[in-house]
Amino acid sequence: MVAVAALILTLPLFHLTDYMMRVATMTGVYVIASVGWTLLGGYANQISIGQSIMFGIGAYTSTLLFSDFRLSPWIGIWAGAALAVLVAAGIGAIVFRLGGHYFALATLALAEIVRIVAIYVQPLTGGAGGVSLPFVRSSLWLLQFPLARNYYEVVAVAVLLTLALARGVLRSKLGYRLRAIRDDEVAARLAGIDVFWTKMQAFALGAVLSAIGGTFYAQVTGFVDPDSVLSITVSVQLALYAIVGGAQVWWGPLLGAALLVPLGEAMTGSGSGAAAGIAKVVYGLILIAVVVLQPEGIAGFFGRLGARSRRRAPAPEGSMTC
Amino acid sequence: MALVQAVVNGLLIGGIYALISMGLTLIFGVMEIVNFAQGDFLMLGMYVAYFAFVGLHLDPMAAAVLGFAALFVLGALIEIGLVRRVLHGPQISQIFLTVGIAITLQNAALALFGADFQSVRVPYQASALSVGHVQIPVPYLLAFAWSAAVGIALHVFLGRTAFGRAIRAVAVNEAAATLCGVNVRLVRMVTFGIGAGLAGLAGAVILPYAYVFPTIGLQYVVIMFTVAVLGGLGNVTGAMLGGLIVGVTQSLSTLFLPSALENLIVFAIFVGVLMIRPAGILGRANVR
Repeated sequence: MVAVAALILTLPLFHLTDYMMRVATMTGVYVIASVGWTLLGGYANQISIGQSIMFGIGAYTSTLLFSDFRLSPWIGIWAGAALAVLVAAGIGAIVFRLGGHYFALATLALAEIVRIVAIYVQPLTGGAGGVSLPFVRSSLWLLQFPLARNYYEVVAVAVLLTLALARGVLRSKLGYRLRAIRDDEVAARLAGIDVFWTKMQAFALGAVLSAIGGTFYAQVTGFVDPDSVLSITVSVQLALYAIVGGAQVWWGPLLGAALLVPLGEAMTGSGSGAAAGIAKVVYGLILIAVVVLQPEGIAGFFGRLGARSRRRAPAPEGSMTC
Repeated sequence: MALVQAVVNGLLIGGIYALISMGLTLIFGVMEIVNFAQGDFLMLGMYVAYFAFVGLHLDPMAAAVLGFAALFVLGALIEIGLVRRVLHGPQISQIFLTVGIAITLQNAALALFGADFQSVRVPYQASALSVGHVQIPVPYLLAFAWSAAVGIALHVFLGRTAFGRAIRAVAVNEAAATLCGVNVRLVRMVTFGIGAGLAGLAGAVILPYAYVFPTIGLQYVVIMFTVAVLGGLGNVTGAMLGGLIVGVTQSLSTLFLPSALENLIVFAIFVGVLMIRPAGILGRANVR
């Protein structure tokens, strides 16, 4: 943790270009949001494809509060987080009793519903065209800066807090309960764990993180539209970073995003549609390679650390015993 | 009259939904894999028909056979190379493997064919049959006819042929099927091939009335999940019925809702079915 913190905090000292600082900032934004997916998706193996809901709520809430009422993003960020928790509670109440594939499908459908509604309520959200965040003046209170590195400094602190939280959750009682659910939900229930409440805690906490990531995304890019914050692609991205890095360790999303976000940026740098296509082909191939060869992500290659999040061989099917 | 017209439109489009979803549900029934790439198989089928039209001047209704064949081969290869490896792996692999395939196919298409919308011109494009006051657009009717024919063929194949029985046997109990001499690996490969092929065929037959572009699959993906879940994941007959129900629902909703919201009801039904009856309207999920 100390080494990671040192690296993140000293990055600006390496005289990186503005562009590189911007990429590093975007990486940080996605780390925060991706950790939000991991708490339930990775630690408890409740795989959602709807985390874009939380990311989008965070991005839209702070942006609309700022552009309509000039309210500081520091207030908007918590308004977004609070709204995300409310929505998470509602969604959780509906979908937590679904397992496996059905849970993934239900979250996907809910994310699509949110996206359709966001496009439809155009007077509020700007519809498919999105909302631009007006640049008022350089100020920490308004979270608007002239330099890429200023954004980086703010996001870096948030990333560290997020990672500390992720690590804390993993080592807390909540973390043990989540892992018990991952290993065997029925057994966890029999052991006296309140499965519903445990999932809800992880989902709500994750919603806060993903919403915060969404707010930072909006501040850094200055623009929010349904495609960039509410699409299936976003949900997949947030899960993808965690899975590639390792969804069961606190540093998985950091590692995954640190590899994939700059990779994506480097390949789309030239800007043409074909280049963007090729960049995402590589994304897709990496995802395929990871889930086929090493489902625990890059973390799975670290034997000692992997042992902490003990792997289980897939349970043999009852019908296969003969 | 608008009501009858809406129902007719819904049935015509619902036939296509049924066609795509039959492949999805067949794959789930046999190997418990939710194929998130099914919409992208449809997209590839559309491109196959598009290039067959541009290069060979082949009508999409004939190119449907090519679309099926091409996607059958691709699906079988994907099963052998990738799906087979995660069948007994962790759930995260099962879900995200096909998500990865979807991302790859979509963006490979973007890199190869560009982001532009493409379409074909066929003589029957704008023609329609009039039955009373109801208009039946010919391209939709032809696509529906293909769907119905394939649906019946699949039903007969699964119910009456030895290989179809083998597929159903694997869906019910893999171990017992193996003991009875069924080549389970071959069944899985062919099933995934057929599932992908059906999407490819569907892609070809909708080309006369739909634009093709790399991300068109996304428009169909949640709809086809709705259809498959409504009919009961794994239940092929259910998918046919589910397709028609979703098509009609979508079409009727345009009578009293803005068209931007036409999918809202469909997705709400989807979540509702998952809540109330996850096994679908026709009950237990199995290939039937």
